[in-house]
Amino acid sequence: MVSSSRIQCKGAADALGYCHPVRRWWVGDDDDDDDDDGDGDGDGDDEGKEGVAVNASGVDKSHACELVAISPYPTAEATWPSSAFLLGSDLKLKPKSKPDVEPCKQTTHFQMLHFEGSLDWVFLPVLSTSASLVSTKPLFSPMSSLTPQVDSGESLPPPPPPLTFSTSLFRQISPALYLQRHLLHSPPTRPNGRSPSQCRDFTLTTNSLSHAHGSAVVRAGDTAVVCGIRGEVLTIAPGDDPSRFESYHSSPTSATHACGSRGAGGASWGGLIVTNVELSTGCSKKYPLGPPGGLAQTLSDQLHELVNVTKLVSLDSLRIYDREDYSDVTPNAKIKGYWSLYIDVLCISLDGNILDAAWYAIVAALKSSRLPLASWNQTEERVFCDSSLYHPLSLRRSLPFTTTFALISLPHSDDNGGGTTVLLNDPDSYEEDEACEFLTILSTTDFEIVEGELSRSPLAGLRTRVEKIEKRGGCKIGLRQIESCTHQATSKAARYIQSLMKEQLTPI
Amino acid sequence: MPPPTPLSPPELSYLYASLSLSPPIRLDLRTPTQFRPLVAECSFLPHCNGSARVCMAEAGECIVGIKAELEKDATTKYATVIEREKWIEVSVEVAGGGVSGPGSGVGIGGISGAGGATGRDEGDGGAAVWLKEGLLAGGAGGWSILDRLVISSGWHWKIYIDVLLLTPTSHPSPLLISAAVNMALDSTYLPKLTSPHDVDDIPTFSDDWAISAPLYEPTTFPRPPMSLPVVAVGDNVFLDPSVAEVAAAEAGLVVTLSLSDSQGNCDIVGIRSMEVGRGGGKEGDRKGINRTLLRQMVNACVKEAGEVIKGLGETTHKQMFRA
Amino acid sequence: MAAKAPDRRRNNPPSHGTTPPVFLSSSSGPVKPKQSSRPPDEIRKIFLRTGLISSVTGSSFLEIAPLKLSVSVLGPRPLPRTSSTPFAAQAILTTEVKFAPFASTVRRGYIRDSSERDLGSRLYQALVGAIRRELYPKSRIEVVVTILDSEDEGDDVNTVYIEEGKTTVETKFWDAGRSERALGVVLAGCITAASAALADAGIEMFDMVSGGVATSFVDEVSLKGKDRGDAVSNKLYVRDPAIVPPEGKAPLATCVLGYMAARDEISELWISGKVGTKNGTAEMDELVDEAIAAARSARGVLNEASKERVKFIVDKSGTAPPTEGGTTDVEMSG
Repeated sequence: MVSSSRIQCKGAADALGYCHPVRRWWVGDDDDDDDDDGDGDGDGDDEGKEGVAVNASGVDKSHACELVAISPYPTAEATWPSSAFLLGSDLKLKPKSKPDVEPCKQTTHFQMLHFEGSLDWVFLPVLSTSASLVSTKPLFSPMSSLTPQVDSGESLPPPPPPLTFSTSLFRQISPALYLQRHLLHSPPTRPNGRSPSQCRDFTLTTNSLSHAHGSAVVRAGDTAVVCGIRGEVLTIAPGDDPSRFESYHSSPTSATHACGSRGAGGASWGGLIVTNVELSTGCSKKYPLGPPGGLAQTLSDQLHELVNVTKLVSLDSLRIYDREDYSDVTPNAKIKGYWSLYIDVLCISLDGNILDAAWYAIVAALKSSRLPLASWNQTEERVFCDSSLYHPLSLRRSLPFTTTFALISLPHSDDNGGGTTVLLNDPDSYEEDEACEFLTILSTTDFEIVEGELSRSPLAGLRTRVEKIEKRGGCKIGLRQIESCTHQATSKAARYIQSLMKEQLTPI
Repeated sequence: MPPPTPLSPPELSYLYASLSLSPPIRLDLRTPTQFRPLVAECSFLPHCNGSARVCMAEAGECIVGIKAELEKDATTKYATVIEREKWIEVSVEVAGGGVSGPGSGVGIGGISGAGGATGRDEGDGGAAVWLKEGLLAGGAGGWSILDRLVISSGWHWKIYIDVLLLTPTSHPSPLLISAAVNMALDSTYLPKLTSPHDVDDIPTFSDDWAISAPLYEPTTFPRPPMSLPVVAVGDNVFLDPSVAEVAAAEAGLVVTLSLSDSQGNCDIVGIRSMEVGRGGGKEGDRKGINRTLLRQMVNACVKEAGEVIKGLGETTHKQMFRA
Repeated sequence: MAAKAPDRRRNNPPSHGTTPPVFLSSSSGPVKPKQSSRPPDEIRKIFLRTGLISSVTGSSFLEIAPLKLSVSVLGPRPLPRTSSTPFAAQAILTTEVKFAPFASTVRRGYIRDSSERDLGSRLYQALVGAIRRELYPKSRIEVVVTILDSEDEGDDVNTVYIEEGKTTVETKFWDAGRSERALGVVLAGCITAASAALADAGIEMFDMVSGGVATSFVDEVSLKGKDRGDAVSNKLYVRDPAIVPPEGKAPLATCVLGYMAARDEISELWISGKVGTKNGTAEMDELVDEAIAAARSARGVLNEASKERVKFIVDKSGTAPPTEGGTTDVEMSG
């Protein structure tokens, strides 16, 4: 599978923001040609025999490896279709005295994971091999401070409190403990009765609104969102250059979009697709009324970026040409304007995991959108629409879906003193309040393949791929956990597709 | 939110009691249907197409300037309904940032305590909505002021009505604003078109104001609308209530009327309920208006309005011709 | 849309500014949409359900034909302890009405515009008298209405009709009072739904307020003559009017009111349009009576929805009597 993988490592402390010099290794497939370019700044603790520099302070026991790019294809660096950034930690190091410990005993936890592009989800083994590539070699010299402190007796669960409370009271008083007790139970059950990997049932309704060009209502548990899409016409003024919009839309990186919509200077003007989330609808007691707060702004940005980065809408269906008849576009037709899509998501009821619901609503609304046919009228010098001809938006072939997990760290567990992390699929707001961070996986399913075969078996022939994994740092999760999350995301995406198609097939 | 009033609960209770007597006794000894004196002048701003200034002793002063600008239709020949409604723009500004509270004239339009509490809104559009509604509603029944704004094919007037309130209290009476707007509209003249009607080019106008055309023809109807506030205390109905009376009242309405013939008969073009203080009443007495009271209140307005509007119009015209 | 300063808290449209799509029609006039077969004294079916939002005190969802709106009631909760907060012997009620950007023919902005604020203050007026605010001192009650879809003009208002040989804009009769009818239906829905949400929140009220709306129409031909609107002989009153007027009729006036059926009192009144005064207030009385009749019909739905909810709560808590005194209190007064 992997013909060339490169792993870039640097000191964990540095990656975590400490001001230590950067150390890098380039690790090829053959792990002999390690190239140490970070030597010379070790502070004496450097006893790496293979020329490996070790962080001077060494107090941070979570050392990290950072994979800059992995690719399953034997291609040149420049054309790699995807990139990943991950920060693992807690590489359990082989003590110098026992050089022959089997690699499988090692555990790798990921602290930060950012992956963008398109890969079969089976890339995970790649990650794990890459990670083991790093860890099979004694990159770090064994130091006493590096080995995790194993607390032998101190970390026993606290004695039960002398006071007892009713369950509902306990839930109110100490939500964190309440949640932990549930998750430590065997089998782990969440307070809402679901298992950690179980997501809420959702319902989807499309095109129930009369004034939107496309709309969707998604309800997942007690979270309900409405997404409405309206097209407005952007007429290109005589002096304008349409290439600005063409290039903006095709720009590959997310950074451009993030800066474009609301950049460093605060506010600025965005591109053709404008995504906004409104939470000030009295959707929750906790969310204040008034102008959008931090959560709404973050969400708007996240969704805006997702729409742009995934290139969900093709620019073809947004162009407005100078033509008299509605036949096919002639090659010399001039672009006179664009449709600008306003995607507005209103949260009606908020009970956690709004990102997934909002994204699903956006995709479904876009899929159901119909724009009137617009063209330039020469005599009136204005863009007019035809109220009798509507055409659907052309979306990308395979629709991506997000799946969000809440990471709950448990205080202790049997063997490793560091504690474990439990991932909860589709968290509600009670769980979200206690989560230390979130993991979002964007996965894709080929839509068209399935469409014809719905009658037979909706899920047959699905080809699911992972497009983006995002974890912003804070908690540590293991490889196995990421893998199982990816599986969950895959099956959830398949269910999304299924319900979306069911909705599309029902006559309006 | 309770209206910010300078009166204490005992004072309100006393006021309530005296207003609910039969016959009632108002603080300023007016009869229930008597208006407060007001000073009005019009056409005093040389750069406006129409202007008016109205002062009332307690309620303060209101200045209205109306300017007409030439605007090209968005389409060459035909405007959509939505575009047409933008031909009139109304803005209301309270000078000195006077906090407008419920029960105020501005508040009847919508900037009462109901809105701004969450800091989500900007500016003051409530009174503007109410004024514009009156202007457009006067046309229900086949006549619209918007028709008079069409100049030629592709061009129309855009009318800006700017209202400036100078009030010592936070309760400007709706009567003050609407009287000023009424006079200003009545004194608005638009220059005469000299270019042909059916040409798309920029129209040209005569600079002779003597042959300019009034926006509202003085001899045809309907005339510009005018709003009268009315409140009820007990079984008594009071026109043109003062700040204190609004604070003590149980129910309030603003009735917008427009003259329908030269005899001084009026048509109702709008009624809105006005927020009142409910200051002096007893608990659970009256939570709304029953139909008998409603009839009584509107009747009082209709009876008195003709004379008031006619009087105001005559003043306007006298001043116009003097100038 | 005019290019104003970009909003720092939201993603902004392209700086060029965009315009809503405008349709071109070469037919001689608006294609009259199909007429409803509903008799004029019958209101449209109302779907009203309460308690759908779990994270707020009270909520309701209302649907009347295309109108869809959701109401949340937050509180009563304590006023913020700041030095600027005055002492409030009664609960402070705030109401907010916001259209979703996609709820009407012309896309709305994110900041409430003047007509939305006006609706909010109308709603405030309708509810404030009914709530027993003295029972909740030093606290506030927030009513938030989100309108997801509304019946308004449809694409007709955004259509340019080209007629050969005509040079001026001719106001269609049905244009007049169009937005009043649209907003009137929305406001009446807001009032009814907000009462249901307040009852769901267990906030005590003197009576539940239901909204009603009625419009008076006359023959279009009688308006064209010299004696515009004076021919009051054949008025047609339509309760809960649709935007499209009945065939050959032109609207005169629209009346919206908040009505407390048990007390027979009007808490909010809004009449817009031309009401003649030849016979004193007789014409207005007829219009108001029609609107009250519409409000009474809505009250029936309101009662049913509240009853359903109370039953649900009681069933859920087994045989225990309902603890929310307010809810039952309100219920009995219907």
